[in-house]
Amino acid sequence: MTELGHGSGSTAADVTVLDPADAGEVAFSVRRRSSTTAVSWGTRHDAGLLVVVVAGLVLFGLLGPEYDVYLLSSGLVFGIVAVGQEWLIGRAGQISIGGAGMMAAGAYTVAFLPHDLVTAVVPALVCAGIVGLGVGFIVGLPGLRFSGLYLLLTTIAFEFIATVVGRDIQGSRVSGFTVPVASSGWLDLASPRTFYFWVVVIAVLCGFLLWHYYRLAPGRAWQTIRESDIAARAIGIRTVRWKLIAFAGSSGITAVAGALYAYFLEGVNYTSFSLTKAIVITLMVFLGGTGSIWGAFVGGVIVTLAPNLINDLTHVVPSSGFQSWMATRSSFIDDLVYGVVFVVILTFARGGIAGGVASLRRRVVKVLR
Amino acid sequence: MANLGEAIGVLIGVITIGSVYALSGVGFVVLFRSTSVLSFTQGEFMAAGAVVFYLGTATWHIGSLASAATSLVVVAVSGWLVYRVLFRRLAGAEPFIVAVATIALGTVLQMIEYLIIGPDSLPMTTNFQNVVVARISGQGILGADVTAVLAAVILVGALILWLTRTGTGLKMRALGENASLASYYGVDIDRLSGVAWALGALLAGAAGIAYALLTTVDVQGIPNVGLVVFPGVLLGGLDSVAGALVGSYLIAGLEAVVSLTVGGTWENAVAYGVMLVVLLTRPSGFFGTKHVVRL
Repeated sequence: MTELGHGSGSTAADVTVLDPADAGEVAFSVRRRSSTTAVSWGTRHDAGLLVVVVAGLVLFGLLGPEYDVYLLSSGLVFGIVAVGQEWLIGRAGQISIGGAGMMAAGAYTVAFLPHDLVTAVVPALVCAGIVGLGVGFIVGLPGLRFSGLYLLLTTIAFEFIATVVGRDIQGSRVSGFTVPVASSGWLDLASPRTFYFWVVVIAVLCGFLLWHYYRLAPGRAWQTIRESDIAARAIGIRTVRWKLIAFAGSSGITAVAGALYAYFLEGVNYTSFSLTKAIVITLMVFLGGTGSIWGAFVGGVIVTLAPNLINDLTHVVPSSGFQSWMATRSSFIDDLVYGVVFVVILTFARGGIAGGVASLRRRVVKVLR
Repeated sequence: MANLGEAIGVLIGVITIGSVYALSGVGFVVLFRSTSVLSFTQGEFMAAGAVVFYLGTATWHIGSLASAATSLVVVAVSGWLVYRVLFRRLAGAEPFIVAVATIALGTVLQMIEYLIIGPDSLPMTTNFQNVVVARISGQGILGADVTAVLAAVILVGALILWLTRTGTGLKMRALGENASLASYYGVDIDRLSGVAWALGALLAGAAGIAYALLTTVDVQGIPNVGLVVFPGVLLGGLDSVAGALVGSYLIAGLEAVVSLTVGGTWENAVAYGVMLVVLLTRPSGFFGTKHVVRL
């Protein structure tokens, strides 16, 4: 496991620049960033931890209170979204604020499919994924011309236009479209526990597939592109191809999550996929820490469930005046907290949760030695 | 004569809205040139200007001029504070991280504005904005139109004079031209970056006051106007004051045409569509500096 590709902290730190002029941008940047973003997945400990986490999720789904299962399933849906966007933002370094538009692609696919396909779930999810791939490909084409700020502006323009188009499609239907679900059996997504297990299975599948690919040549290709587009081309990486794959793939995953979100809400409304939501999705990725799959999951879950946590916290404070003051302004306060957390992470803790855990682990290992 | 009258009415609207875009857009360019920060916060600074102006006229009753002055001072100081507290630490960070940070900051500002005056749009309590100042072919020019255009002319004019005639302005231009070279010649980048933030916020605040006089104080709606500034600024090439002026009025004109022919809901989408086309064909706009990327 000494490849550059899976970015383990110790490996990246071992890259030494003998002659800066020859080694160039890639090695230098890898070294510079390793302290904040690199997270190791390849060790046996992590595999063990993963089994424990999945087992915990399954147990919680079977035994936990139904309302909490319901809440966590919505958090996990956004965990999948964050993992999909982390592919594009964290791995390939293509900064985009278009996650909500990509979710909308999947959700609207479910809304427009024939009734039978929608209640059968699997074909609907596959269709959503395919539409997502297509949308990602189309957004990625102009994206090839840009990097950095211009790409950011392009994706924001797409997000903006997608919202207007969504509003136009919806027209006079104020409450949006409804999504039918089967009434019984394992396809009954209206049942919180059934839905929860669907989400867990898809989340684990996505996480595993991406973890697998990040360790292989594709992962290294994306990382090189992230560090320097020019250097990547110079060493023979087909940047066009890998960027388009990252755009299409991440959009596909995000669209599947968007379809799940449509099932969760049993409906689709363009207001769920605003520019604000797209920004919140980017917050999930940065909160989790770019460069980490589990970090993105945790970021998605925390940001989605934060309003409930903040709400619970206000009940701890005994003053009833404070509670009612909060109640009338809760949605602003949620967004205020998001914003403050986001600013703090970007300014003071660039590595996010995953970066923090990684540096904590390095420190603990140092002490033990 | 009805058609001529209508056309003049539309033209007045374009010049007024274009002035609002131009104020905010020039503020954006000043900030971008001197600090390379692509700021998504202009819209929220606009709303902040409108909110303080509203408080001044409706709650503190200190008169329109005093309210406007207070509002500009408050907004400029907040811009300076934002730099001192946050964006100073982000100097040298990757540009997109800084841009994303300005988005987050925008959310924070917007929520503070919500907590102060609430999410509903409030009508201005002053009267002068609805007074008909003059008539051309039957179309009235309102106080609000005059205010917007005057604010743009005075503030942008003062800015250009300041940039070209004073020592600090010269340093500011040097910073925009080449930051590291400027610092070798003893330009205090740290101080000037703070000034750039304050100026960017001040111009946005003025735009916010002008827009609120045209419509209402709407903390939710005004930031969207701030976002429409991007197409205009980008048309001018992101880093050119003249380009931002031309681009802002062009986008205002385009929006007026779209809203007459297609419908009002599509005007912002079309503005963004134009921005995409410009991005694809001429990423450095029509007035901007072309950057050469070195291997």
